[in-house]
Amino acid sequence: MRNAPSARHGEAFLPNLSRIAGRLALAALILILCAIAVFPFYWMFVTSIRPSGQLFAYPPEMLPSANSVFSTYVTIFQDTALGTWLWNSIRVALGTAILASFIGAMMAYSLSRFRFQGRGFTEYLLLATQMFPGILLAMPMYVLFSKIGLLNSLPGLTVAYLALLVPVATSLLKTFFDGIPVALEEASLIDGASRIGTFFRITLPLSLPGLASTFLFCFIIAWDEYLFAQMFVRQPGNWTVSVGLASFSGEYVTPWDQVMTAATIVTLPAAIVFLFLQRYLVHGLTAGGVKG
Amino acid sequence: MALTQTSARVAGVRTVHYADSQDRWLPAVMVLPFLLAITALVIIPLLWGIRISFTNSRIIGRAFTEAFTLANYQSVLTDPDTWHSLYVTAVFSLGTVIGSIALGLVTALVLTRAFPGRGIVRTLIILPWAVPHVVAALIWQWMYNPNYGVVNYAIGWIPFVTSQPNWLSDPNLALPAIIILNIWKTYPFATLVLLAGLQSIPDELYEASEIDGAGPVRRFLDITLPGLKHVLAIVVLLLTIWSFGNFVFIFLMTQGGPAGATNTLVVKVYFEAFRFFRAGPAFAMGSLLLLVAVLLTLAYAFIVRRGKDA
Repeated sequence: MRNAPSARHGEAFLPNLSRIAGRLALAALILILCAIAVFPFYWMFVTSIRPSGQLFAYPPEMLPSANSVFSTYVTIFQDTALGTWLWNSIRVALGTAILASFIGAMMAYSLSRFRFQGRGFTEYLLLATQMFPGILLAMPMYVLFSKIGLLNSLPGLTVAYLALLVPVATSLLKTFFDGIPVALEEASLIDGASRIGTFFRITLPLSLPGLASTFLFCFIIAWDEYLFAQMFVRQPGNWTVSVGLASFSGEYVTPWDQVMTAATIVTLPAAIVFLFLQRYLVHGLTAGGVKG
Repeated sequence: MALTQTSARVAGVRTVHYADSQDRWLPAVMVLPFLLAITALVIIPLLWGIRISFTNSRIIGRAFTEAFTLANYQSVLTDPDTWHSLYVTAVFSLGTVIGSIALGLVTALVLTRAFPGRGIVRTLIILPWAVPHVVAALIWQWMYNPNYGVVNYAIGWIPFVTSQPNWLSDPNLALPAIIILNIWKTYPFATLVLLAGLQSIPDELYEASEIDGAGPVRRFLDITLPGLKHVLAIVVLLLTIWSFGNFVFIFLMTQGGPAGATNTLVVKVYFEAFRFFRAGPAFAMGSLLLLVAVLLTLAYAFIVRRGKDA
């Protein structure tokens, strides 16, 4: 099996030996790069299934222990409030993602289809709100929320997240709507359909993939969010999963097997969604819609 | 009907050339929820924060005296800690930008070559970007553990190194340790954007320079780097903005310590407000940060627009 010699890298002119050496070097580099990306995840998982008696062994065992325990994945729900925190996170993330996608879709459609004053400013505002360090918004919002009694509640946190996610949803959806030919809608309008009818029968079905990815992305940002959640919600019963997770560390002795078990559980949905969405994200990021 | 037309005008909506009666009020209805949400949740809080910065508020969330004062700004700007925090923030951002782009560029260059399993490698490399921030902080905290962590174990393999550094408690090592975590979290993004940039450079350029006898280094400097200029500018700015605003990593790993070694501006603002009960100065610093964020955003918008025109 010989690959065609690549003209770009001049390999055809090199002797065979150094080409093999080059191949090996590339293979080694690829392995190192993979290790950098993956090792911390591997370590998280291996720690999560290690019997707690073997956690503090030195030197640390690189491979999973022979007597690995998966029972932590069950007992963690009995020993900690992880189940409650997951449920809180799901509710907050669902609520914000639905509202943000809905509000964002209407605004994105307007930005993409209607001409009105202040459009340029709105687009700058969309960008800016995604760029501000979260704390600049979180602190004054904390003051205002404390006045109207929205602190310490999950609905309050859901509303607060709208500040972060409505701009994200609007930016992402605008690029999707921009990609749908106006001609399709005009044809429908000429055929006598109303604007709303056209929106529901033509535009909406065409933008369903965009709506779905926007919804998922918003869900994951809310799932990941820590600063607002940690500031706004004090009672452990109302914590979201990121606050709950963080509370494990810094205890007198950190139970690393439990922490890493919980971390694995929290990572799974985020990782799956991210891998699914990566194509859209890079495009959105370089085209103007942003959130890290 | 009169009411909806008014609201259309309030929202600044001017409809064009449609005959359908829905077109008069529909845009206003569609823009309104957005305007309400952004006004209530972004604009009013930001203005409120600026207002607090001119009062002598102490405990965040409590009533403040109304008297106008510039004292907060004075105390913030004359406090040497502020300038130290600015320095820490700059090192943190610069370290992240350099490390993330270097690692991202190497990864992207490797990914432009054809090799078996490239698709899988590309997917694996995105994983650090996908992991929740709190999880990333916890994993690395465990890896940095001075007694049982893998980092110190790996360091033990290096010849002549016998020390077991206490990464997060050593004033000289804490900041580099968190920069490494931040590089790990952000370099997949740099990789993907740089990869897209590399793939947009036409192959003919390489072929032509090959005929002219240019070596690989020359080709990299004369073709690859200039071709990536625009994408690189975007990556540098976004990484700067994200590092500048990063709260989670530092808050969870070191709380700004040891001895202020990792006390970035954002973390300092938080502790001023919530630990030291100096809400006024905290909001004054916040307002100054807001100014910086606005400038960075303008720079970003400028670069993106120039790329679209080019």
